[in-house]
Amino acid sequence: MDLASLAETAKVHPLWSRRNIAVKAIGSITSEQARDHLLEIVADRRPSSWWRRCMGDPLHQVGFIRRNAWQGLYQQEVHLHHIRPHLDHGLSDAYYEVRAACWKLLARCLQEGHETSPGEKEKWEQGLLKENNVEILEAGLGCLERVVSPDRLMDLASHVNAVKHWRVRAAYLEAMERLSREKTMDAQRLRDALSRFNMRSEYFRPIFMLKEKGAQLEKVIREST
Amino acid sequence: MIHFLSQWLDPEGETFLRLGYRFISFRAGLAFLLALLMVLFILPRSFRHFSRRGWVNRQRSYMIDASSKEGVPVMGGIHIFIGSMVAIVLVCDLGSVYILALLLCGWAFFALGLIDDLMKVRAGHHDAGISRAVKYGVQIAAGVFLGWLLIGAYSPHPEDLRGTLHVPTIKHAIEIGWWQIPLTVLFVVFISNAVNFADGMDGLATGPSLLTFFGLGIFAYILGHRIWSSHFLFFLVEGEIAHVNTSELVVVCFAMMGALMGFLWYNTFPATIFMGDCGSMYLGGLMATISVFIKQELLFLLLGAFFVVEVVSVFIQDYIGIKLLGRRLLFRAPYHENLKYLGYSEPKIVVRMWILSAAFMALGLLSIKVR
Repeated sequence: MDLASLAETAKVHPLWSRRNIAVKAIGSITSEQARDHLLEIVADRRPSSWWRRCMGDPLHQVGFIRRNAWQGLYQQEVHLHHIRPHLDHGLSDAYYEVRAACWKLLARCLQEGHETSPGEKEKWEQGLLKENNVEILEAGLGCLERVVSPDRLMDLASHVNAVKHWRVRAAYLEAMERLSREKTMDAQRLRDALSRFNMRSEYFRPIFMLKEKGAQLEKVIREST
Repeated sequence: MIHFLSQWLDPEGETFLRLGYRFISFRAGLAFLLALLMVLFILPRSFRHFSRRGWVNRQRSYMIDASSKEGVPVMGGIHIFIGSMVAIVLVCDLGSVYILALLLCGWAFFALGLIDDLMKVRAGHHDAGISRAVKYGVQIAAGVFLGWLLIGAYSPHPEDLRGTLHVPTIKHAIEIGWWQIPLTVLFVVFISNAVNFADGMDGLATGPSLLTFFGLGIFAYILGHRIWSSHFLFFLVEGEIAHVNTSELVVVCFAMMGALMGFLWYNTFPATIFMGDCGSMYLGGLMATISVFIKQELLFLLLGAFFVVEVVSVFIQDYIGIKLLGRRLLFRAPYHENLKYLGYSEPKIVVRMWILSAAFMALGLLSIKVR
């Protein structure tokens, strides 16, 4: 099957399962055309039938298709300006896996150093502070130094404290370590944020791993001062 | 077997063994201890044997953080089966129709699980095994056999209990006639798969199974006891022919509890052995069979609520969410995987599920008097 027929199946086939397979197939092909088709699918925000809306899915393209379209874009060579018009929808999608895929792509773009405006950063920062899902927070914390402002670091520490999952806490400590190494924030702010961060939790399992990460971070902060 | 031996050796019934054997409580305790010691004794000897043969757990790609489970011996269900079967065969009255039918179903479910496990370990990955059609086929056949046994001409149940459905907290039974067969099939398939789904963490299926067998044992005792059943306004499950009394099932329940406790010794976090499909199928099959025999199919939904939650979560995720709506409705399924995704550690999930199972079991026991 060539890309054009795959794209047609992905856009017009009446069965969502077929559309989903076609979207996955397009995602695995790395080309400009494939990227454009995926962007078209991401932009499809038609409302779904009433009974699907009752079950919590507001859009015609089901959750898996929306997720796979964003995951497909992750495989492509994408610049931030390609996805910028769709980011707001992606980051506030009703389905968590779509938000996670969108955050992963955004994190990659930001790590690659794509240009952003302060207004956009502010929006993403606020969006990150509303999330509780482990996959989304992990992706968001992966580009923390590009998103969060020094003033919001304390708020983020309090937010992460409220999340049970140890992977989020580990990602937060890693992000803090990166901030410290890159010296984008002064050591005192980092030390304050770390003191706010709760190293003990009723829920996390690999406590030694987190302790080790925390100790590493303290060492880096000490060395940087 | 000891029952027959003692009758043959001591026809007068004067010795301590023979006197004790008259009491269900004595035999239940004996079965518990026998099964417990059997499992505790034989299980550690087989670890190396299992590992050498490659009967070990393989990591599944779709599981969260499952690397620590790789290489742990599986098919610990063999020990549960041997321990409980030895205790049942030695201590139970093998003349009872209930015990014979139960042994038959137990064997069938164990064999089904064992073949499934062997196919998986031979293929080297977790998705190989018996096809879904064969699995459901055997479970449906077992359900049809049980349903037919209960309402057919050879039913051990008294005439007025055949083809009836008993709802907890309601005194009078609902007449369902031949609908008993499809209902039994549905119930057997549902329960045997539910235990299979629940067996996903160290000790997770073992603890609730233990509690469920305890609850079923208490009901089997009351329903097979002339005085207690009339005291609690229950029906008496006792036929006109000899050796047909559900109180014999109490011995089976306690034998299962003993075997499970012995297994839990090694299966608790971090587990040194997993029960595998042979264990979970066997447990599910026996639970379903006992519930059907004591006419407490609906009560099981309360006594084994944990298993019900597990199977319902899989149904919601797979059939409503993934296949129909094209999205996950839960983060993960079965429900224990959902909790793991949320960040709860494994021992915490397991112990909390035990506590909830105990609470539901107590709720089930409340229905004895609230009628």
